[in-house]
Amino acid sequence: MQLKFAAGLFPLTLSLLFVGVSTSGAHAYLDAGTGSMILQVLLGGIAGLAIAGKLYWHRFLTAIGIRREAPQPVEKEESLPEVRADR
Amino acid sequence: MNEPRLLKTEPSTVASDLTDMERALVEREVGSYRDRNGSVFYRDGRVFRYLSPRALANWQRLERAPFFKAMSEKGAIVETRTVDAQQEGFDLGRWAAAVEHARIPFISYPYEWSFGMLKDAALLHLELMRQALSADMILKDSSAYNIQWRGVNPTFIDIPSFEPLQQGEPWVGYRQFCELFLYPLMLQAYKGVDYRPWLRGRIDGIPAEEMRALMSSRDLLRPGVLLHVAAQAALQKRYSGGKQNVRGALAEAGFGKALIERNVEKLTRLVAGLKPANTKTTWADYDRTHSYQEAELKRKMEFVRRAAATRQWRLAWDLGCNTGTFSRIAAEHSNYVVSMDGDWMAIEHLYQREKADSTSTKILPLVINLADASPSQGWRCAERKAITERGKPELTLCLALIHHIVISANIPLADFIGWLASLGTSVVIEFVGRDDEMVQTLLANREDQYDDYHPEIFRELLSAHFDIQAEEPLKGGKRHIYFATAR
Repeated sequence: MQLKFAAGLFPLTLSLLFVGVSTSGAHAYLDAGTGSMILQVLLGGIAGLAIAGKLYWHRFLTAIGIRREAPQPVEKEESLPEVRADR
Repeated sequence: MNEPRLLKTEPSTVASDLTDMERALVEREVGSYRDRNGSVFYRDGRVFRYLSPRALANWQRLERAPFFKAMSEKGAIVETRTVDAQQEGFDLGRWAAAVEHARIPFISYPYEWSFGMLKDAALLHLELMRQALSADMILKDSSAYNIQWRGVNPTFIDIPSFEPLQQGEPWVGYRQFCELFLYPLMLQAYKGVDYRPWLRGRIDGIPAEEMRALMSSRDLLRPGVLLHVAAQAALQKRYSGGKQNVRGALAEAGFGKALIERNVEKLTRLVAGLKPANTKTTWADYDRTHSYQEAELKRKMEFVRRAAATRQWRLAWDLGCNTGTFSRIAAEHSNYVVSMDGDWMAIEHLYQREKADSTSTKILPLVINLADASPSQGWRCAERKAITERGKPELTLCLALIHHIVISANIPLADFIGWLASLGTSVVIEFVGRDDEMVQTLLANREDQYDDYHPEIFRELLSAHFDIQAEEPLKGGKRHIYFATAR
C-alpha cells in the first residue's frame, strides 16, 4: 500500500512543475500526450533534473512577479517554396 | 534532384511473382491515411508512396544520411527510391513527389507475432531512433505496424516517419511506443498474459491507464513499471483535457536530444531484458512429443518433398505448422512460406530457429488460429486486412491439422475443404483416422457429433474440389496423406 501511495505521489509532485505553463506547440499528426511528455523530463536522468530545476525557477520568478508568463515563441515553418523550387 | 537507385529486391518480391490479376490492380492503401504527409498506393504489383512537399524535403535529407544508407543496405529499412512521376504517368496533384518501396512478400501485424518477434521489432525501432537522433533526425511516431518482416528479418517501412529533430522537441512517439511495443511485451513478461488479443482488439494498443490497472503493487517493483506505466498513467490522468502547452514549456526549459537519447538507451536495455513468462504451451515440444516413429516421419517428409518439388510455388502456407519441419521442406520449392500456428510457443521456437540460421529468408512464422483468424478491421474495416486478403497461397500444407479443425473447432469437414478450394491453392493434406490416438484423445471428453469425419467422406470431398495427384497411407493406415492440385 505504501508503495502504491509513493507511486501516486511522485508523478503528482512532478506535475506541479507544469501548472500554468502555456506556450505554443509544434505540428505532428500524433498526440504526444501531455502526461507522457512531462514524464520524458524524468526519464532524461540528470539532464532531466536540470530542466526540472529550470521549470521550478521559472515558476518561482513568475510567482514573485519578477517574470511574466512566457511569450509565445515563433514557430519555425518549413520552407515550402524552396522545396517546390527543388522539383 | 536525387539519383534514382535501382531497387534491390528479393527474388520473392519482384513483380513477376504476381498473378495477372494482382498486376492489373491499381489501388490506394486504405490503411495509409493517418499522416497527411504521404499516401501509399499500389500499381502493377509495385508499392509507391506520394510525398507532400514537407515529406519530400525530409526524404531528401534522409536519403543523404549515412545511417539510412547503411540500414537500407542491411535490409533494416525498406529499399526506397524516388521515381519520375511523369514517366510513371502519375498525376501528382497536391503531392510533391512519389517514391517506390521494395515490396514486402506478405504483410503481417503485431497481433500475429510471437514474443521474440515483437521484441526484435521493438529493438529495431529503438535502434533506428538511436541512429536517427545521432543524425539530428527522429522517428515521429512509433507504430508497431511500421515494421514488417522479410522471413525472420524485421524491416522498417514508413519512410516519412523520419523527420528532422526540432530544437526542444520531446519524443512525440514515446507514448505510442509504450502502447504498441512496451506494454504488450510487459504483459507477457510480467503477467504471463497473451498480448495478441489486446493488440487485435484495439488498433492503437494498450493505454497507460489500462496497463496500470493490470499491475499489482508487486509489479511496480519490476523494471520499467513505476515510470513507464504508473507515472505515465498518473500524469496522463492529471493532464487529460488540460490546455497547458507542455511542448512549448519543455522547449523553453531546454529540453534536448540528450534526454531522448537517454530514454531510448534505457528502453533498449529494458526491452532487451524482457523474457516471456508461461512458456509451457501444448505444442511447444511437438518436435519431441509427436506421435510418429522415425521411419514413418521420414516417409511423410518424403511425400511432402515430392509434392512440393512438382513445381516452384510463389507463395506457400503451412497451416498448423508447429515448429516448422514441413515449412522448411516447402521452402525448398517456394519463393515464400507463411507458417501459421495457433500456439505461440511453437511459433516462437520456429522464429528463433530460423533467426539462428543466417540463410533463412523465406519463412515467415505467424501466430494464427485458423478457427479465429485475423479479420479485416480498423477504418472502413480495411485498415488491417484478413489473412486471406494479403495474398493467396499456391500451395497449402495441412498436416496433422484436420482433426483439430473438425473435432476441436467444430468446423464441418465440407466447409473446410470448400474454403481451401476457394483459395485456389493446391494442397498436401493429411487425414487423421478415428483409430489414431490423437483423435481418440480429442473425442475422449466430448460427444461424437462428427458424422462427417470419415476417410471415405474426406476423399470424396477432396476429389470433388481438387485433382488428387498422389496419396499414401501412414502409421499403418491410421492416417492418409494426399497431394491434390487446384482445379
